[in-house]
Amino acid sequence: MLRNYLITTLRSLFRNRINAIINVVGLSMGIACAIVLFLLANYESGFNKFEENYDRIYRFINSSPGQGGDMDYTPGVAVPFPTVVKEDFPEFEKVVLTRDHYQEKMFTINASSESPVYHELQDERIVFTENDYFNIFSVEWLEGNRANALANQNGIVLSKSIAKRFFPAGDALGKVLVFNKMYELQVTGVVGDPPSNTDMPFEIFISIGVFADELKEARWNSVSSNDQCYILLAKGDKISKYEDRLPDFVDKHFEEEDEEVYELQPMSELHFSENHDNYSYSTTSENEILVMILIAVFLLLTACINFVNLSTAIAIKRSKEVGVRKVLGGTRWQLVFQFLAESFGLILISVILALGLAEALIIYINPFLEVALDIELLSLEFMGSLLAGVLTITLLAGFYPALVLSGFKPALALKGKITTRNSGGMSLRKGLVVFQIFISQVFIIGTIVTLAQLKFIREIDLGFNSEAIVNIRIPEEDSSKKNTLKNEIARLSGVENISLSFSAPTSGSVAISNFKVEDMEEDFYTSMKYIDDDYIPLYDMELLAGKNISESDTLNEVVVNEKLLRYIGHQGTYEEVIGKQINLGGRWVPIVGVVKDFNTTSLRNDIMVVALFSRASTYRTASIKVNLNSFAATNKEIKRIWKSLYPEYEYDYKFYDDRLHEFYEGEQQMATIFSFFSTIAIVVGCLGLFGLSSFMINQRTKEIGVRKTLGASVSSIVGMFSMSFLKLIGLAFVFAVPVIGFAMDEWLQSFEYRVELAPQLFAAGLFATILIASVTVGFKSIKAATANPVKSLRDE
Amino acid sequence: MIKLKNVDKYVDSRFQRTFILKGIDLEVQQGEFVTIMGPSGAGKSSIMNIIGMLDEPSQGEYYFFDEPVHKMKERKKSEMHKHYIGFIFQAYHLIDELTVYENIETPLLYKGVKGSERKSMVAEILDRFQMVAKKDLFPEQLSGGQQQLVGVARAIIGQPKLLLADEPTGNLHSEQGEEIMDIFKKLNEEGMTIIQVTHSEKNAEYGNRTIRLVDGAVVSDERKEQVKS
Repeated sequence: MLRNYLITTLRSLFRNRINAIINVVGLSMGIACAIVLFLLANYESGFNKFEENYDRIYRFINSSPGQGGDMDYTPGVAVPFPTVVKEDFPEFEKVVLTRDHYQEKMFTINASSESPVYHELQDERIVFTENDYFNIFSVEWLEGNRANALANQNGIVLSKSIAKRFFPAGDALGKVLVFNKMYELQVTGVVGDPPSNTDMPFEIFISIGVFADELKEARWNSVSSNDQCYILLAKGDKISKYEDRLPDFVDKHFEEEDEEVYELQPMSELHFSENHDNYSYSTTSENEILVMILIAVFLLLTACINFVNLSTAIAIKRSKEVGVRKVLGGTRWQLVFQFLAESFGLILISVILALGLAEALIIYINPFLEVALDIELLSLEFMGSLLAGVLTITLLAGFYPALVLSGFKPALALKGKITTRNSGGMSLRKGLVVFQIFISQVFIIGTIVTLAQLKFIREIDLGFNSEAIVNIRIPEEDSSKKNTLKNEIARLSGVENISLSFSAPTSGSVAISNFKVEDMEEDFYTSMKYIDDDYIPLYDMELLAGKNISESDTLNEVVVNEKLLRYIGHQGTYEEVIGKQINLGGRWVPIVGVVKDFNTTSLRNDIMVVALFSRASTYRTASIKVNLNSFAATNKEIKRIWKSLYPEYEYDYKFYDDRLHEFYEGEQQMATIFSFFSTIAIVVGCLGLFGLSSFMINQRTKEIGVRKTLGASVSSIVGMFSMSFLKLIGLAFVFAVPVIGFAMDEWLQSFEYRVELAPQLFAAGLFATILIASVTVGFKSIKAATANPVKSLRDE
Repeated sequence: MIKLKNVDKYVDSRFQRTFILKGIDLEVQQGEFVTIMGPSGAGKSSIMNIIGMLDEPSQGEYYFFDEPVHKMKERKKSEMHKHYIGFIFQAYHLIDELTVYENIETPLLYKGVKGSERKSMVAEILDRFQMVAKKDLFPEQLSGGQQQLVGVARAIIGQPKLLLADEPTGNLHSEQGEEIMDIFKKLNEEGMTIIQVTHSEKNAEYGNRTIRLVDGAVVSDERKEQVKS
């Protein structure tokens, strides 16, 4: 019996091969994307889950009122904080301080020998911490003594791959190396490389004891987000016991007006925290995971709808077979089984194809999104969910067509009286097509809005000119070297200007300080930019009043932005403020200039209050305005000068424009992913539309023939078909607009600077859909309309 | 064998009831060869559909071997199709995707006949209809007459008690038609009950009873003299 079914299936598939190919291709594309998205969602939501103490690890997070009524959030704590926690909460099993190190990472091996080897690390992550770190977090221990590796103040633990780089001979344990030319450290352990899905991605662990002197002097009011405090709860202990005690703890150690709030955040929220960043610098909101799953489900549904539409459409062609089989004694359930088995076969083929496609997709997605997705084909979990998926899709996509097919009355079926109209579900099929177009439109409009927003932020006036500016970093503090660097580069012919500063106008780091204004009582807060006198002209910032700061190594005059004047409540003209004294860091200095507002952080945030002044010791960036035509040669010269001053360090330069784009890398990725999945959704939708339209047109060839003999023109027939699809598109659009409008509005809210959700954006989406649908449907309908009516009418 | 008691078949539209069959009383004994004749729209096909259990009467009772068909569930009707009734159609209705051999084999599959037995049964009937050489061809590769031969073979391979033929020669040349009718006659002589619908008086001659329908009612029911009995 099975053989008989199989033969019929294969031969009927072959007979309707176009439909079968459309079905399989559409379905496998949908399934492949869904697999990748589910893997991605699974990967993101599986962050840190490998930690053995996953549900016992917590970290302290802080929130406090900041500028202009907004809340400031930080996962950082003051350096003495963990020590106090240990005293006040002796019930905590472990408490550690962790300090992420993001500046120079220069290691010298064989420092005392004649030929020291320098290793400058870039992206590898270093943490300064205590030995208990290894008792809280799961770190695979390979060599050395876990119990006291960081007990001494000069201990360093390396990951396997770092150890291999530093000591290729594999004898890292016990070796001495020098960190940043200052700290002599001894390797006390080698551990496994961190997994990809961790928010503690450290490869080098250094005893925080190296900062012993600094730590002793550390103050309560200086907090960096790099310093965090993690605790391990005792087994069986409940966090709720301590939450009530936290306000008292804060009262005890902080001044009343600080309004600090500390909370304990569980490890399970580390990766999904909205306001508090983590050490992997990547958080995923639960919304994003939800969106991934939604897109996956949408894609699957589109593909399933294709399947249902095409199968029920073919059903009519097979109604005769159904009639014959019933007459020969086949029961309805035997037929249902036969058609379900057919669907199952097709779906199985699609899934196998999809696995290949997904595997190929992952190769591109992994480096692009910096994730480590992997199809573990042989794992029970994957196979299980795959099988469950196949069965679900079979039922979802196969059951309805099977019911329709098996329900044909044999007397009608054998008379050839089954048509689209009485095969049932014409309105259902139309509904499904509307849903499919709805999905396509949601994707198309979403893509358009994302791209519009990206274009908007790329073209916005930031308040300074970033063109043709190259930034290089300055690795060491030595001021005379800095000056030599600046003077020598300034002399190059291809260089128009050079400025030393702590950071570029828009940068990822913000330093904040309090200040006072003469004749005013209150304390104000401002962000600070440490710049030299070439900074403002180089970045082409507009001075609205006063003058640029003059050359100086230390703070003795300050330029402020407009926002600062608004913030302190200055009413008069900008000129009036020139000469006014402000107190920054305990020193009274005059305001000498007012600069036009510019963006100091990404456009997700509003413009900040800024004070700009000199402080040579903090300069870490050299900004060079170059002549782009001769840049290659100039760059060689710059590199030569740089290398002569800092021979052990890697030379690295970056155009500032590129750096600015990096701020929106996440959005860029989102746009790319969005466009990719939109394309898939649209292609799958088009396949379905093509299949359905060609089928509908085939069904109506006789009608077309009759109309033509009655004198209908080709254009009126094409118009007739176009109208029926236009109606469906219009209906789908009505549903799509509020849905995607709401979603994109939510997303845009995360930007301080955003495009308006103008009707044109939606109209563009509608237009694109109509265009795509017309091309899809038009081809077939023109062919049908131009066909010779004699042929189509001779059928009877 | 077949007993129709006061069978009506009608279609209700909004204002009126249109009768297709009205007050049919009919009995067919085992071994009869019945021909149903009548003009278009007289209800020939409808009565065939009801006898063949493809359609239900709107009113009245139908007994097949004294079992009430009007009370049967679909599953039971499938059983009847499998074991008692064979169909032959004007348009042959072979399954396009299956070869001659596979088409003939299909009813045996539904009956659950074992492999080796099935093979010999199909081989035997192919042999009988002299179609062994064509067994691997698809329906579209055969002439109409050959397709109808396959249709007959498929209908009788399950050794049904009743053979229903709805204008079996309607699409055939007279020569091909005669061939089919000869087979029918032979089958009837072997004891099979046959009911056929036809427009051809000549074909009706092959049978031993002719029922004429007009506007859904029986107007005449003639039996031929049993010359040799």
